[in-house]
Amino acid sequence: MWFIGKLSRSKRGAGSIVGGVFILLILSSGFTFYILQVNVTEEYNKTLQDMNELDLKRNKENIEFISVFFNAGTLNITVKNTGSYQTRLIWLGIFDENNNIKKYYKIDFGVNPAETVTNIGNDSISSFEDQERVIQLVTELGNTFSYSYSPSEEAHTYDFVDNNTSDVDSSADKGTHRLFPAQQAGPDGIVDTLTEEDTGEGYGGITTVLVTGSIPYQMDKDKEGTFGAIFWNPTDDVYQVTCVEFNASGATNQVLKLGGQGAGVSYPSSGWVEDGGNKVVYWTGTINVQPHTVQEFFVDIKGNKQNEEFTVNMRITANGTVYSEDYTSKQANAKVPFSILWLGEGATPTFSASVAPSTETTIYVSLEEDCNKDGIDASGTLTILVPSGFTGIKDIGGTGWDTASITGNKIEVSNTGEIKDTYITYGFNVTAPSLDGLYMLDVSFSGTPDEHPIGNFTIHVAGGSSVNYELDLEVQWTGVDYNEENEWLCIYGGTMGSEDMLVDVWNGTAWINVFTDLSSGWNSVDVSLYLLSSTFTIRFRSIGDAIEADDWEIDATFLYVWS
Amino acid sequence: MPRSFLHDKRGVSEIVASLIILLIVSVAGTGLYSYSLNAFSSSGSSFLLQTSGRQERARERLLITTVWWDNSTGQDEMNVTILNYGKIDLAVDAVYIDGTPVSSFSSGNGITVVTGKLISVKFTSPVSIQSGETYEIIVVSERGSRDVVYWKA
Repeated sequence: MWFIGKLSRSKRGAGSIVGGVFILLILSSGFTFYILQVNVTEEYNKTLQDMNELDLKRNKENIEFISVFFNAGTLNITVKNTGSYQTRLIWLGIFDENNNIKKYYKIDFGVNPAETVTNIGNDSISSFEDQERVIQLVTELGNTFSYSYSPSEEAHTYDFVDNNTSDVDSSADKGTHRLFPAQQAGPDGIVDTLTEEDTGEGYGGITTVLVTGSIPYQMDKDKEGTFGAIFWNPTDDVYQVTCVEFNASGATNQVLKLGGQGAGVSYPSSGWVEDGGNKVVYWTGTINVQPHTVQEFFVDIKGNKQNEEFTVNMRITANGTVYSEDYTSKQANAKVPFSILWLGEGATPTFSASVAPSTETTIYVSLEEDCNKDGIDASGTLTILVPSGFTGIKDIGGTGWDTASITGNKIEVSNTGEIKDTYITYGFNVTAPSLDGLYMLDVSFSGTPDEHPIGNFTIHVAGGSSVNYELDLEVQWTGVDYNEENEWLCIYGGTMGSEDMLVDVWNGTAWINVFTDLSSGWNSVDVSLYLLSSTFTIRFRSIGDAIEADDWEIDATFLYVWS
Repeated sequence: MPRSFLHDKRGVSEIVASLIILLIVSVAGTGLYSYSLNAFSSSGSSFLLQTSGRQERARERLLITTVWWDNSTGQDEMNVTILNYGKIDLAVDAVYIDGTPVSSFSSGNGITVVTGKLISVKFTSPVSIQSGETYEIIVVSERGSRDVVYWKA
């Protein structure tokens, strides 16, 4: 009764509920269909997007043929990917157009962008060395690249380097090969890395034994002044100095007389003599000059009342060899200034200065008038040439000197007043190079009345490292075909070090430079002038520095010859 | 004393009416739902089929890599090599030379070519081939994709 009553009361809503349920069912079916449609559409759009991307990659794909030749009857194709994406070569077509025979061979080579791949071929390809063919490479992305091969191409020979064991210059190799055989094939992306080694021969500046000095210009008629000489020993050997001469034997007149010797006046302090002709003042004895050092000599020499401009031949005998350098001096039979240059700021002349590597240092140069009869006029010009390798030149100045003008490594500064019976010192700052060594500082003065002294001094950079990373590696061909009209050395470089990589060829007696800085990619040079026998040698070389051990990648090295 | 359920006639007509309304609504709803389900299903299947076909065609790529011509028998025998570089297998359905469909195939047509593979389709040219002349060759797949080359005999 209760149920009947309930049903009776809710009759108006029952039909609506049932209808609503059906509407919901219909709507949910429609929604399901909609979702399905959206998913399918999305999937389709994604497919379109993927395929568009594929088409884009395909359009940017590019392969260049580098070389096609036969190696012992086997086809060897070298190609480079010059496109933007990785390429996969999947078919190799060999088309004999004359006989209408076209064959495809299955291959599988991946070539990354900018990569060069060699040895592309297929063992089942019959040799066609003496016949024309069209070669077609088919890529996975659907591109074809063709190359016309002609028999004349086979007459071209690619002769890869044979060994790295030669030593034509009797100089030990410097540096290492990581994988020399990599140079004997390719370019294929497999590289030999050449790395510098620390030879411990890290010295900059002057590299050969020599003599320099400081010679007055001009000289008073009978007053004395300092003549200086420097023996440079930048070698690894000890040099024994046995004689030092200030030799004016070429002068017309007897122009030189020993002026004085002793502590602070000469070095050595004794043993200096003048010859009977008053043209030579010399010292004999024994002084050892250690490796990578200099030895300075000086003595007071006075005029002999002559009017003459003459040559002073500075001669130092060391280890039995005479090393010499000519300077020009002038003497007046009158009361004239005695002008001379030396290094340092003290009263005692010095001709070399020691500085620490990579350090800012003050260098002093002094100009002296040494006879007290006539003065060096104001407004003369002192010129200083700072050796290369020194940086950060700054004017420090000094009493009696104006503000300097600095241009590059050249300092020019004027004396502001007369100099008489005294010396004035000019200072400048420089930062020394990192490499130890003996560096030459060229100083000259030009003033009135007729003052032109010259000094070539030593700045000795010492106390640093003698580390020197160098490369000097020989590689050699044997059994080379050297009678062809065209003979080219071809080197394919990979990633190159920051330092320049030089390549020299051996002409039988000396190295001839053919590349001043090897580049990434192809480096080719005509070597027909040097390829004159069946053995051909080149070397990879760097100048060397103390900064780091550079390395360079060499992918392939070969001689390309044809007539 | 209350009257028994069986003897109480009040409200019977209302119950019957309600039941009849429910029946009508249910039948109408079921019919409408059935119809809509059928319509959705039919439309969905058609859409899926259509999209699937378009999608497959979008994934299809073919390339004519080379064309040979052999007239040694005087029959203008042609050999077109085709690469499937798409993402789906394909089969060559038709070839047209200068717009004329090839009717005489020797081999290659209708054969499934998996992706990355080549197929050689041989046929007799429906038009006479003259050496030095250029011809438009169109290869069409079963899904409707095509590639065109202008080939010089």
